[in-house]
Amino acid sequence: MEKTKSINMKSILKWCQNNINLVILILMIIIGALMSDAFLSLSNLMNLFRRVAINGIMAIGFTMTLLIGGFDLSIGSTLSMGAVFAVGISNTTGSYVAGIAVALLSGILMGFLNGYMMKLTRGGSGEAFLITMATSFIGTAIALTYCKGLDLYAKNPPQWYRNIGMGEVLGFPVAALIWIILMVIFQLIIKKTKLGRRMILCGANPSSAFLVGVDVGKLKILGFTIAGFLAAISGIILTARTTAGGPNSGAGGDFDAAIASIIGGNSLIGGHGGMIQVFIGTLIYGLITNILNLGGVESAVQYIVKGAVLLLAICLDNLKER
Amino acid sequence: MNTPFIEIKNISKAFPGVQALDNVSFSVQPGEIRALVGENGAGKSTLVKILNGNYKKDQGQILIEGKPVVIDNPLVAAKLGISIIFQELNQVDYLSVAENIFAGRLASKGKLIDWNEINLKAAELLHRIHFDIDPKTEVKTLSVAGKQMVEIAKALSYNSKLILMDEPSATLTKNELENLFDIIADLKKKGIAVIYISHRLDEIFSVCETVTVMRDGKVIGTDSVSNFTSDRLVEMMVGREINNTIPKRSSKIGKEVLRVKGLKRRGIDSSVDFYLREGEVLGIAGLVGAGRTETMRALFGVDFIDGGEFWVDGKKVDINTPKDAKKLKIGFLTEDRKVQGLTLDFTVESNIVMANLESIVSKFFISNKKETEVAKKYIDMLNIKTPSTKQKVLNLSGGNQQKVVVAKWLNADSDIIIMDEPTRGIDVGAKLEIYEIINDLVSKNKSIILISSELNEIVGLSDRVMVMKDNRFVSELQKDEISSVNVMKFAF
Repeated sequence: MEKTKSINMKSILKWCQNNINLVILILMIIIGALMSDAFLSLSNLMNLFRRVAINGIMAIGFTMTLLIGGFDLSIGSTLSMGAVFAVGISNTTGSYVAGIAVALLSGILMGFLNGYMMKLTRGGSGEAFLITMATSFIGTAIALTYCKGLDLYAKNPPQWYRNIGMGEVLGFPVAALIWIILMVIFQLIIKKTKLGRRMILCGANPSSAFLVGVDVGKLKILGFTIAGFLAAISGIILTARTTAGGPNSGAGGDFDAAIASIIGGNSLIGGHGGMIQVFIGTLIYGLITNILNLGGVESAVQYIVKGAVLLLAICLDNLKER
Repeated sequence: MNTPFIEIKNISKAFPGVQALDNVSFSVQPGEIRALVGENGAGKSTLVKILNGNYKKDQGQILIEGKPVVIDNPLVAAKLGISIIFQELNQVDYLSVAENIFAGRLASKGKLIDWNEINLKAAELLHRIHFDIDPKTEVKTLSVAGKQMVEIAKALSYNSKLILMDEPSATLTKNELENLFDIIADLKKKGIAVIYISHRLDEIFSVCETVTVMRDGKVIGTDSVSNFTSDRLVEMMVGREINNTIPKRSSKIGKEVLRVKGLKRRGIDSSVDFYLREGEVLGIAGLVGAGRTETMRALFGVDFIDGGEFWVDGKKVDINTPKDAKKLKIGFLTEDRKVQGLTLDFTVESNIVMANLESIVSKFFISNKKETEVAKKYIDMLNIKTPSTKQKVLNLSGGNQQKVVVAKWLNADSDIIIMDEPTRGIDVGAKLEIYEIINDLVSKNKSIILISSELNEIVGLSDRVMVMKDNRFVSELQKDEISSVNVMKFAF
């Protein structure tokens, strides 16, 4: 009897060690429920989903770049760029379709630039850090130049545009719905398509990938372009919600996405991870913010906690069995 | 009997899937020159790494001058008087000889480094091994032999009582080798013991006093060198009559499947020509550094080339990337399966299907069922020992890992398979299985280019052998001309 018990304890501990991210999420939910009666109400949960959707979409992009063996710290600036273009172009042309199109294009181009540089340098994480740091300055500066340093306010945004950020389908926020649909699509790509397999291989072992005929450079371009594209989508959703976009709209967005992605269990080593981790991580991150707000912690101090959480997540990544 | 300098008692070490060392015991007297021999994978390098403190032993004891010691990092090993000269020398090319010798413990005068003192001491150490060069010389300007001398000087600087040399002769010329032997004799006079690891039996007979033979992680025997003949030594290493190691086959050689003309690698002046026929094993022999691997990498589109024409099945083709080569049904087992051949922390099945994802797709999406089926097919065909298709390749033994790489290329439908050192680092039984796989493949009309540094493989498996030296093919041996003597005659 004693023996089976200890084996059970051991296997439970091991399970917890390998699913530490899920354990953290459950702990956060318990903490939240203890702090406030309203925490587990439907309206609070819907609010949570609405608030985390943008960070969730950013985290998808960040995770895709992690998977192919890099990471993207420029997505925050790309979000800003997308936001100012979405509002600015819509205002000058009077067409919100044009605004969205230009915003998406700017994101794609920024992502392509990152990916192309990664291809050119045959880069890994080190190059990714410097390349995306450089392009994040470029992106922020383009946004600043375009809006002359001022926040732009949307003139008479049509209802459909506002719905992207504020609308609900059967009580569920549209933005969160977009987030979830995107996660499903990318999970399918990662797990069920040849393209996804190649991306994972390319992140886990680029030299082996090259030898079996995978075009590593092309996949890097694709991965970073996806991240840029998703950052632009995030920018559009943000402006649809706030009807404004500014050069600092996305400031810190890359940091938030990185925390969500890694605390959810995506590995810093390329080729390991997916959208379930993004889902868990985004919710953990949202709950941390939620709980800190409930506890009345001011936003500057919150970043101390969030930075510590990122450090913790990096440590946890090393704890797991591989 | 005197107290031995080092006594190794019942050391065992296991890695996932393989018992690298199994109850290994032997001792070395001060001033003794001991040969440590065994095939690849016999456990020699694991033992070396334990003595150097790179690996932790699972069990057993090490005694230095009769006292038990714990070696948990290389610095401890150095302080205990053990120095190791690795095959891949760990030197900083852009620093001077003196700096390399005293790396990490430069003498100082106050806060400043005392260069005079360092260079003086280095010069003295170099003089002790009759290698009188200026200690201020940059290491990168030295030959491999020179770099080894620097390592020996470094060992002396630690007052080492035991120097392990791991394949020191691999890249030395004849004169340099003789010089090394003189130095080893000199070390002996100073009471320094040497453990000499080498595959070249003639060296062992000319320089060593005693021999320890290892096989499959065990010590098979230790004896004075005069009690050995080279046949007996080889037999002990291999564990059976050497003639029986490679299974015979009757070759059925067909039409030409590959022709390479004027293949010129970037940065190399010479070019090579060769061809390969259906159902043939073409052995590529030569010393390490002769350019065998590099030539095959160039053919496969991995490295850049400055010229070369290729024909596959009589049709002129372009090969610019591995993707092109794969399309032409060429496969490539690289020499380092752990880096380029496999993704170690992926499953057996995902590694097997990696080169042909089309084979597991049904209706646009990847089918996990198909993936498992494909993997199972090759697991049966090649007798891959794994608890499941979902096992991580990391946990398989070297031989089974290699079979996974073979499976990968078979699944990619390869008709021409380049195998670069396919049996490196795998145990004797698995080697035999790889030989059988090679024989089986050619009987199914596949063609194989075999690079191997193990002479008996080249001689026993090849239908034709081309010998490479200094990036050129220097000789082509037909079936009836293939013998170790003929191959070695041209390779050196």
